Parts: sequence; C-alpha cells; structure tokens
Amino acid sequence: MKYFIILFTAFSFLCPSILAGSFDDAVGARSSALGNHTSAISDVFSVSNNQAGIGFLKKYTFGISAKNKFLVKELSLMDAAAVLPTKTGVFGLGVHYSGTSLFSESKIGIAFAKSFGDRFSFGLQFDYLNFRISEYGSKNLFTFEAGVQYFLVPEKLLAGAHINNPLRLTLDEETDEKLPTVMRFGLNYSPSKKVSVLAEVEKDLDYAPVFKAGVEYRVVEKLALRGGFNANPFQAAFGIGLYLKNLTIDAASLFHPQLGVSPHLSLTYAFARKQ
Amino acid sequence: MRLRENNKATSEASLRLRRKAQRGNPKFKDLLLLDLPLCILPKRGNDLRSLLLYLLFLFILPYISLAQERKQKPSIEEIRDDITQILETVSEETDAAFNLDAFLEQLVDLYQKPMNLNRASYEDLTNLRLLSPEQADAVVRHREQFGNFISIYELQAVEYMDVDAITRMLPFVTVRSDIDDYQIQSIKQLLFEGDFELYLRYSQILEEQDGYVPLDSGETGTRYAGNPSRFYTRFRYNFPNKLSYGFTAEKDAGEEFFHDTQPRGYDFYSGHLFVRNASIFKSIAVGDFEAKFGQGLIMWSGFGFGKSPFVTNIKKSSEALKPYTSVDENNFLRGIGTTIEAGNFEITGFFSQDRKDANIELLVDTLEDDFISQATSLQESGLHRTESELEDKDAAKQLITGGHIKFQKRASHLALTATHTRLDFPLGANTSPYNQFQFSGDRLTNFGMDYALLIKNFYFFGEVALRNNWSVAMLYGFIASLDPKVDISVAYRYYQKDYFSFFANPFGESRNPFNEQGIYAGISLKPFKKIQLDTYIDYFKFPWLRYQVDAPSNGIDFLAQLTWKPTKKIELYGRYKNETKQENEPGNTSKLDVLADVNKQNIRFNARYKVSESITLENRFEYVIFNDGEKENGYLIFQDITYSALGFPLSVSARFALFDTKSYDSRVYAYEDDVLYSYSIPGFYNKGTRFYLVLSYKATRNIDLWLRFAQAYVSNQVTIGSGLDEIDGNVRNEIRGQVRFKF
Repeated sequence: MKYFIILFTAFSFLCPSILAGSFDDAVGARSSALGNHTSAISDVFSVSNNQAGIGFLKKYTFGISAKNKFLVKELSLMDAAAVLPTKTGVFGLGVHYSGTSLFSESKIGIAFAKSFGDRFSFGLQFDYLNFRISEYGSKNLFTFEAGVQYFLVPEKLLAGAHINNPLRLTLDEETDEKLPTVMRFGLNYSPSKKVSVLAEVEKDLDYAPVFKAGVEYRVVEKLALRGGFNANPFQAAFGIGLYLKNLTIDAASLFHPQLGVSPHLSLTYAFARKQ
Repeated sequence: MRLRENNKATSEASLRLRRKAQRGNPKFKDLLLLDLPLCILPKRGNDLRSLLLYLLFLFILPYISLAQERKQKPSIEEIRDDITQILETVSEETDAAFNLDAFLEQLVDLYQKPMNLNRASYEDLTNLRLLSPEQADAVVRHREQFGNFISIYELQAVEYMDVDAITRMLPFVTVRSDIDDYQIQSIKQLLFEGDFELYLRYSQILEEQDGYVPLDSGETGTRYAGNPSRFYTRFRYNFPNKLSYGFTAEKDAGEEFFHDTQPRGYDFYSGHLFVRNASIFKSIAVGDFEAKFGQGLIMWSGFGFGKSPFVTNIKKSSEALKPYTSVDENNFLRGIGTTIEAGNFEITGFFSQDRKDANIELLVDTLEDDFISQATSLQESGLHRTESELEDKDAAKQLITGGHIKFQKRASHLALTATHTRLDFPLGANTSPYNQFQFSGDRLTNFGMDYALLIKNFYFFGEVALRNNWSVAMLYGFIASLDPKVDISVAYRYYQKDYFSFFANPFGESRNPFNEQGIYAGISLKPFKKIQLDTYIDYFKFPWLRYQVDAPSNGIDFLAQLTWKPTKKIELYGRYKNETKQENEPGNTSKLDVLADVNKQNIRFNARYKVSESITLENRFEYVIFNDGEKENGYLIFQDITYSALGFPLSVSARFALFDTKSYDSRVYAYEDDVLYSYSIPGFYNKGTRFYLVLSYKATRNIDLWLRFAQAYVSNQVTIGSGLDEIDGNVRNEIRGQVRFKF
C-alpha cells in the first residue's frame, strides 16, 4: 500500500495527464495502439471512449479490455462493453474496474447513441462511479459524458469530440479532490479502406493539452498494424489487430521513456442482428 | 534477328499490359495535364552547355537567363526549393556550415547526361533522392518483367509512381536502347570531350575587423597573419560517369597568401582523380575522395541528410566512393580507394593518410620521467589565421584503412564494414565528467553490418556498428508508402555513450553517434492534389552528461509543415517547429547544477509567386519563441525579387530583410542566394536589416560572371561580430565576385 501510494503520487506528479484517474484512460487496445486516440474511432469500446461512436454500429457487439500501466500490478484496468443496436438508436453498457482490494475505482455506464443518416452521430452516457479505499470507506458519484462524431468527407474523414464530466463534479469538496473534466477533439482520415491516419488533442481542465497521432494499416484483410504517440508527455505506442470471423483480437503496448511499458489486450465479438 | 523478334514480342506484350494499366490507372489522367514539352525532353547535346548552365543557375541563383528551356521545367525549381529547405533545417540543427557542392554537382552531371532508364540500377535511381525506394525498385522490376522502356511515358504505368515523382525525375532521365550509354569510342573522346571548368572567386568584408588592425606599441594581443580577402580557385574536368579530375584551392580571410606562413600560396589544396565504370572497377579514386557506407554510423564523410521537412527522407543511401571537390578542410579522405563490382557483390577498399589540425601538448610522465605528446583536440574550422591556429595546422597524422562488402539485389542489400584508424599523437584522455567516455588514444577500430530490405511497400533499413571497446551504435528504421496519399517513416537509434567513429554522420541530434537514444516517426499526407502535410516527432534522450548539461537529459522535436500549391505559379507553406531540450539552468548560482527545459518554437510562413516569366517574388515571415525560463522572441521578414529574362544575359536576384530578435538565442536562419556553388545560411540576431544583390552575367558562351554585394546593419549595437572578427561600427558590407571559364 505504501509502495502504491508513493508510486501513485510520483506518477501523478510526473505525468498527471497520463494518470488523471483511470476513468479517462483509453479503453480497447486499438485506441491504445493509436496513441490513446479515443474521439474519432467507432468500435465497441466507444461505449467508454466516445459514445457517439457506437451510433454507427450495426451489429450486436461485446468486448473486454485489459490494460496494465507501467507493469505495476496496482495499475491494472479492466473494462467490458456491450453494444445493442435497436430501431430507436444504439444502447451501450460499459463496466470498468481498476485497482486492487486496497484501492479501487469502478464505473458502470449506460450509453445511448443515435446516428442521423450515415454522417452524424450523437451519444450520451450516464455514469455511476465508485471509489473505495480499504479501511477508509467508499464514495459513490453520478456524472455524465457526451460526444459527437460526424463525417466531414463521407467514409474518408471523420471528426469526433467528447467531453467527460462537463458539470465539473468534485469527488470531495473538502479536499477539493476533483473528478477530471476532459475534452477531446480528433480527426480520423482514411484515404483508403487500408489506411487510417488519426490525430487528437486532449485537454484536461487542470493540465496542459496532450497531442496524439496514430496510423493504422490493414496489411491484409485479417491483420492490422498500428502505431502512434502522445506528446506532452511523450509516450510511443504500437500494436496489432487480428480480424477473425466474428472475433477481433487487439494487442498494444505503450512506452513511456521514464516509466516503461504498458501492455494492453482486448477482444471483440460481433454478430449480426437476426432479421 | 531472333533477338530483335524477341524484343518485339516483349515490347508488344508490355505495351498491351501498359495500356491495360493505363486504363485502370487514375494517375494517367493526371499525367496528361502535365505540359507536353516536359514529357518530351528537348534533344540534348544540341545545346548541352546552356542546359547545364540553366540548371546550375537554378540551384543557387534561380531564375537567371538562358531561359529558353526554363518554361518547360518547373521541376528543377522544385528541387532547388527542396534543397534550400533541407539546408535551412540542417543548419538550424547543427549550427554549422557544411558542404553541398558534391550533391549539386551530381545533379548537374546527371542533367547533362541523363540517366538511361533502361540501364539505371536501383542505386542510380535513388541516389539523387528523386524517387522513393519503392518507386525505384518498381522501375527496375517493371523493366525486368516487361522488358526495356520504350518511352518515358511508360513511367506512369509503373507501380507506386505518381505525377510528382515523374515530374521531378523527368529532367534527369531518358529512355534509350543503347547497349551501353557509357560507351566511349576513343581515349581522345574520354580525355577531351568532357567539360573543363575553371572557377575563380574573390570575396572580402569591406569594413576593418579587429584582427586586421595593427597593434599599437605596447599593446598585446593576437592579429591575423594575412589580409581580409578570400580567394578560391577550382578546376575540374568531368566526363560524366567515366572520368573526373581537378583541384580546389582556398585562402580564407585572414590567412596569408604566398608569404611567410603560407609559402605554398593557398592555405588549402585538394585534388582528385576519379575513374568510374572501367571494366570490373565501378570506381577508382586517387587523391581526395569521400566514402559513404551504410547509415553513416561508421563512415560517412561529407553531407548526409537528417531530420528535415522531408519527413520520410531518413534513410541514407549513396555510392560508396565519390570524388571530393569541396573546401571543408577536414571532412574527407586523402589516398586511394576503389569499388569492384562482381555480380551482386560490391567490394570497396580504401586507404587514407591525411594531416589534421590538432592542438598538441607536452605532458610530463612522472613515472618514466619522460615527456609525452598528446593531442588535446582535433580542430575542424580549417582556419589558419593566427599564430595558435597555424601552430595546430596539420599537427596530427590520421591514417584510415577500411573496407565495405555489399551483397545487393535491387533495393535490398546486406553489407559489412570495417575501418581502422591510427593517429600519430594519441588523443588525450578526457577529464571532464561530461566527456569522459569519449574517444581517447591513438587507435580505433570500427566494424559493423548494415542492411536494407524491401518487402512490398515497406522498406526496412538499419546498421549496427561496434567499436573495439565493444560499445555499440545501432539504427533501425523503415519507410512505407501505405497509400498514394500516405507515406510514413520510423527510426529508432541507440548510440552507447562510449561509441565513436571519426567519420560518422548519424541520424539524430548529435554529430557523432554516441550518448543518444531516440525514436522518430514521420508522416507525409497528400489529402488533396495541391495540399501536402508533413510532420514528424522525435523523442530523444542522452543517457550521459553533455557539454553544459550536467545530468542525463532528454528532449523532443516536433515539426509540421503544410504546403499549398494552388497553381503552378504559386507555392505557399506554413511551418511550425517546436523543440525542447534540457540544459543547465541559466542564472543558477548554487554549486549544484540543475537542468531546465529550453524550448524553441519557429513559426514560418513562406510564399513564392511567379509574377511573370521573368520575375519571381518570394516572401517570408518567421517568428521565433525561445524560452529557457525567461521568454524571448525574434522575427525575420524578407522580400526577394528575382529577375531573369528570356534571352537576356543579365540576371538579378535581390533580398531585403528586417530582423528583430532579443538576443542570439532567438536568432532566425534564412537561406541566401549566392554566386554559383557558394552558399550561405546566416542566422540573424539583434535588430537590423539585411540586403543583398546578386548579378549574374553570361559574357560569352564560355565565360560567366557573378557579382554579389551583401550588407548587414544592426541598429541596436555599436559593433558587429565578436572577437577578432569584430567591426567597430554597425554595418558590415561584403562583396564577392566569381568568374567561370568553361570549355
């Protein structure tokens, strides 16, 4: 525990925007591999990343994601997501857990997204957050997040924006412990079906902006190679994606020059809606 | 007869294939938009010399007369622009002058005697950076698959080729069916039908600098031995791809001339004899030459590309040996060398013995009660004006033997390199903490391996080099064309703190590959036809101390450039560069140094507009923000005008610039036009103006004249320059004249 607190403090001090609460981490190894890009991607983990992204999904999709930061046991993040497209819109469910029995953060989010035509989608999520420190107690909190995605050029250029905790809710008024308010804006340019180039800027209310860029290349139908980085602080990323029939396996690694490696693995299972 | 039929069959088949490719190839449509005259190059030979001149002018003095051809060749201007941009970036990075003559000369040679696409090897095609590795490989593959090219039009059917690349390479390539372009009929032709060129150049700063003011009686100090004039003479005979010989001589300002300390006249002489393509000998070098192997971790004398706005241009590639014709007094080899080509193997060996400038000191060996001489440092300035500079001149002898064996197939190769260096004085042990791992002693052995491997559209390359203390320097990378609109490049470098090689020229931040690790990624996007976005990011760390950095440090370098060419006559670009490094905190008075971030941001806007056939305008605004705890900024704004009329022998190029920077830290660099083969990229600081005028006059078919006048004025200082170069006044005028005889 002591070790953890020291580490936590050190990390928070060294690279605040990397560890500004586990809720803001990119979910899904694809996002991680693209330099933590979350705003202009549309996959099952958009449930947690940018809810507007699920608005474009047409299949029932489930996904799980596991990430470990800097190979520190206490900094493990686990997520599960489900997407249920219906006639009225797309519903999503996201569950998050990070930490250990000594300290943990968890979240349940219910999302709804609706696309208007093929070009625009809007998404909203209500979150129920829980913070628990062993022997100190726990705290619960409601908040919400929202996002949009729209194609500036159909099928070629997707723009996305997302805001987390717009009402600037705090965890503890007394100690002024904040729940981060983060906004992201990103572009996803795909000149062809094989290539995507992504860029994103992220601004946490209390920290300097983070710039991100990534490239995804579908070498063959079943394999995608990805690479990206964060600037400010610098972190390099790369990963692969295996596209099997209904199953997608994504793996990624992030490298921080001082803190080291963060591996990330996720699985996605999708099947078509019964007609 | 059968051969001919065969050829015919292949060409018919290939034509069919090509037609098919063209139909399905959207690029073909674009190509038709090119000016036709650009595609059908004028018959060379008729007016070879004027074409050559035309190119020469375009590089350093653009838009100068002889414009009969220029209308058809915007591409060369583009290349000139590229080079300018690379130069500017490099000098910003290294803050040092370097030599580009050889590179320019090669292009000129090639322009004069264009490469035959039916004979060109992969190496030939990539050497001048006109084509990317995939493109060059595709050209060779296309030829292997479909037979010889029938016309230059065929390029559009080659995989990975785009209009830009074709436009760029057109002036330098041709399609002929000759068995051997390099075939010469007689020795007489080889010896006399090439080009003889003689350059004479003179330049001088008109104001008196401190180093030339005689000492008053009783006053002590250093003064320059010679006068402030600078002379340069160069002679070269060149028969492209076969034979080149010549010499270069230079006297720098402040050096003596045929007097006392310089009895031989010029301070620096360089000569070369270089034979190419003589039976199995790909090249034979005698005298001064350059050797360039692998990625430059062991051997890369002369100019090498590094980080630049050409973000995917990160792989080094060069012929192993090249003639040396420049005036950098240290960065070349002097001796003999040869490259033998046998099948897929290429074997290079060389031997060089040269005296380098060094500071030699005598040490008392207390154990042996004896004196030991050792060199404290090798000097690189090449200036021999004062007593101490003259004392250091040629003080240490450097012997280098080396070899390179390369097995290559088109774009891919595997090669081994080894070099051994000896000095006649040991380089002294380094005593400061920051340099204690740097090379000392009198013997150095380096060996290593380098490779390049093209798999589909991914081009991997790398080099691993070792020194005899088993320290390692490594560089791995790849470039890939993911889509016609997306190119990426990635490189990782790992240079240990005690690695060293005398002639290394690595990719990265440092001039020598030690004490650095870094990862670089670049991407070039062409989302629309007229718009290009280039960006790179480079993160690096220095695991050991550096000069004035008393702790391990790191940094990050980012660049983004957006280029827009709305029409053929207009080119606009905006550039943002942001570099952060760590240095000892300035103004820290405590005993312990701590590091502080030093950030420099450059914002540039550049516009080039061709008003008419004879007049081109260029504007630039550049803003620099420097922050090492205290923020300061600087800016530069300039207006260029270039006039060169059709068929009129006189051309003019002029600039007026204003600059205002708080100090040297926020200085701004800008490339300047100069007399042919001379170049300058000064950094401007303080507050003032800059003006220059370059006149170029083609007196006769064989004689060209250049005249340049440049003035720097600072309004907030009473002196210009520092040390012995200081001028008591706020104006510095410089004149330069050059004449070239060509026959």
